[in-house]
Amino acid sequence: MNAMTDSERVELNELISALVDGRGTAAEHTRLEKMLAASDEARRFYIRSMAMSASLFEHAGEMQGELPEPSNVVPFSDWSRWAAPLAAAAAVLLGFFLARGFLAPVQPANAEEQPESVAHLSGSKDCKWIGAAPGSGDELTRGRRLELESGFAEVTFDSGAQLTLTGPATLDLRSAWEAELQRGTLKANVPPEAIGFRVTNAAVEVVDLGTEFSMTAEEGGAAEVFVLKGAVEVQPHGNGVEQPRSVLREKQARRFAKAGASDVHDGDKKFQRYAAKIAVERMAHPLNYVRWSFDEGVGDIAGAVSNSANSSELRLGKSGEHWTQGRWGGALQLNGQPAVQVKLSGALGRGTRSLACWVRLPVEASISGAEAFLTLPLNHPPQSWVEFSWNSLPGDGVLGALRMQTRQGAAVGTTPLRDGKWHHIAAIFGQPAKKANKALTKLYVDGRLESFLLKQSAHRGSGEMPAGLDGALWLGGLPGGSTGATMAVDELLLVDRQLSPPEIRHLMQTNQLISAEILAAN
Amino acid sequence: MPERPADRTKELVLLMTQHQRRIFSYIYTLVPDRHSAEDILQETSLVICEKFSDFRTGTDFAAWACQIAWWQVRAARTKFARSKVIFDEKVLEAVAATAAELAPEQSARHEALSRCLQKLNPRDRELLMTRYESGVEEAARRTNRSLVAAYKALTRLRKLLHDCVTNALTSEAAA
Repeated sequence: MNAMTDSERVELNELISALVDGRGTAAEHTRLEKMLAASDEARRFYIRSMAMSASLFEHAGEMQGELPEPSNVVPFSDWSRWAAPLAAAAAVLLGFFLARGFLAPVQPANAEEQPESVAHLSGSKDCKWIGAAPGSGDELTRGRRLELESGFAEVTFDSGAQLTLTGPATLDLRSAWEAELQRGTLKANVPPEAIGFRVTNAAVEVVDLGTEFSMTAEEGGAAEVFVLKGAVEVQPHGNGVEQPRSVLREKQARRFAKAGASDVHDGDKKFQRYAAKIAVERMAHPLNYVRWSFDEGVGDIAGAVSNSANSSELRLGKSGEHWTQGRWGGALQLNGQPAVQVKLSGALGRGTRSLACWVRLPVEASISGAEAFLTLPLNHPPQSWVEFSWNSLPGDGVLGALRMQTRQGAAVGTTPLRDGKWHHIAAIFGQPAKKANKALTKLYVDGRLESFLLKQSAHRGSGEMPAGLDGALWLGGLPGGSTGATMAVDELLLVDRQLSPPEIRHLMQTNQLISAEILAAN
Repeated sequence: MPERPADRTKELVLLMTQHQRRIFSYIYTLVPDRHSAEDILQETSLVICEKFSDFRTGTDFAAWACQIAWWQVRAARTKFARSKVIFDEKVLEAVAATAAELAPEQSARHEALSRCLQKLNPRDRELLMTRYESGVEEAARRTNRSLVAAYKALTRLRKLLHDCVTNALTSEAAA
């Protein structure tokens, strides 16, 4: 081809623009290839255009808004968890990518769109409230003040920490990881997954190190801390000046006041009182579920157990070996083959849902092979869906961590999954019916809450909902894709409501849904 | 005296800071899908880390890194074989060869682009920046355009910027 004509230049610009925007057809791609093969001028125009788009990605990134809230920034201790296994230079580079801004951490799409629920009222006994009374199971939002006049109220935070308030008491909910006791008494039960949970007040900050402790806060600002099991770290705030941190261990107690820290008066009696079990009433909330155990070991059908769906078996296709050793019995081995689907019925196909399973990824799985392994439709906004994969974009969070992508953004966990080991994952997603603009997002990995924010990030490809996704769960990849994920999946469970942290923990530890009896006894 | 490992790491980070956009741009030209290109960039970066001891200080780092990127793109061909985002092998090689020729002008074009962006009217600039930050749909929504109108406007703006950058470099060369 000689020098391009004006109309060819216009055509080439349109072809490139369509390609950049992900809307080019196969015919247009072929035409573009033909032009690039034939003309040096076309290739130069193409390369300069693509380089310009690469520059524009960077310019747009530089113009992003303010930094994420501190609570959204993964703390150093968590970074070290994933960075440590990497070669030093690779870790430096990955850190570089995050710091550089070229692949900058994406920002929350909109503060108003962020989930505000940080806890729920999980149990109560003889409660009299001052102000609006929360009902059993009600979600409690960030910043909510609970004023209990009398009785007992158990609050379960999304991190898994449980606080039982004894009235009269006033508690402010700061986040899934923090509460402030204004007055009264609380007893904290913090499972290992919620280590780091903190309770503050004017006199002291108590950081849990995996424990059970009680704390009382007096109207005058003093507080007493009693460690019933394990240990806590305390930081006194006496005289408005930060004091050195110290650790209180089992059976130890301290009083913190403006004048400083001191021994607790009548400590033994108080220990006895606080160690007594508080029997709150917990309501078991019904759920519909469907579950694939993948214990077949032979054949190409994975059967399901459900209390609501009629037929939910997965037909895995004739090719390849489908089975492997699982975390509990057998498991499904995905070998990169196209995805398979099962129709979802009733509440399992819409609204707020939870999904849990065990996954095992190959050690250092190829980054370009980070396919979605589970895809489900969402009922809001229209034509939207959720994909689960592992994160291959360090700019969005930890490389190799669990990633949940919706039209509204992506949530990324903090535990790298590419280690050849089984990890339990649980995700809560979907749109509560009454809050059409509040997408629920919670990711738990190995029982620990790792993400509760959707940060701005788009689906790959054109952004169109893949055909065939409506009303179906796709396992192993995206509908219509020619390839799929490479990993093992075990004990896949889908339920039609939010699972609570204790339910997720129980499921992880026993492979069973928590029963009403166990819930009441715990 | 041999360099200390800490110095080499510092050198690597410095070189990546200077040349990352050029490496990404090279990959994106060969694999015109942002996410796939970013994936390959990550893999390339890890290989660069592993092989950095082979790099001789003072030689052309970007060219050396783009060679590594080239092989990563080639390796990714198997995965993209059935996808529309990869070119026929001959075209890929021709594009890569031309890209190598044009590499020296990239920084100047990037700088000129910054100036050209300032010349756009605010609504067009918002469309463009939102497109590259959040996608076409969001860009259309924020600028009150239909999706089709947004696509058309983006095509027009890209041509406008392309010409603006080329003219700016031509003027600078003539000055």
